Amino acid sequence: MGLEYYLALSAIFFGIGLYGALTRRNAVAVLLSIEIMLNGATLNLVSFSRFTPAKSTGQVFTLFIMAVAAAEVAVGLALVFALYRAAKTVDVDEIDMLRG
Amino acid sequence: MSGPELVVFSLLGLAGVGSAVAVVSGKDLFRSTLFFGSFLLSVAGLYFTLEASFVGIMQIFVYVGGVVVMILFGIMLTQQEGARLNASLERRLTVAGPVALLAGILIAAIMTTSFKTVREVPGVDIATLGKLFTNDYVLPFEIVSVLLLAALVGAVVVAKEREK
Repeated sequence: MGLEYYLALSAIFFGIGLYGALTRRNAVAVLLSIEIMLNGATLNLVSFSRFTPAKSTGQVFTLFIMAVAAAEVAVGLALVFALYRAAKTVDVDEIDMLRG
Repeated sequence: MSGPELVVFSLLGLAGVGSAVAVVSGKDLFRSTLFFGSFLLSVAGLYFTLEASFVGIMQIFVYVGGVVVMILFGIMLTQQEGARLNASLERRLTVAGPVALLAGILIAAIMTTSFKTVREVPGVDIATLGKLFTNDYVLPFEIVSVLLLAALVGAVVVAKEREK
């Protein structure tokens, strides 16, 4: 017991993040929702590392994911800034410059 | 899980779910980001209950200390008066249904699966993690450091004002 609760909680986090990523209109808010989804996934890894014999690997990969997520936020925000400069908006529903 | 453990887990879980909902549904983006900080802190608390103290500390350092501050700057630099934050109610409902269904299926699958769990595993100490990083996972470790450098340089290049 125990592992199931953590996995269920991370599934809920993932669902909330997915909902936010699909319904938010501000690009920064979408980025926040994606971070919630990532945290759900890493919570999964850490709980498996706590409750199963191959125990350290999950924590190692969680730390890798944190580093990649930090890089992702940096690049994501840079893209938002560039977008704001080019389109004067960060509303993801209004940005359709690549539409044919 | 028993007694006090379950209580701590429920409190942290409720705090996490509550702040996550506030992040995705709030009307004020600045406040959403502060709730994102409290979401990250409750996930860090969950890491502590899972005896992953180093991961929990790193969660607080990297996410609460770094990512939240960076996103706050991002919001302040791109803020617009009167911009709508949420999609239409119709779209929110069409998204909420399938997402709730997906989460429900996931939870049902998790609850019906019997995992091979070990009850009493001692927590992983920092020394073990350090040895793993410098032996088994030394190649990914180096690749991640190069990736971080490339991403940060790339971010500066992308965000920089073009000279015309």
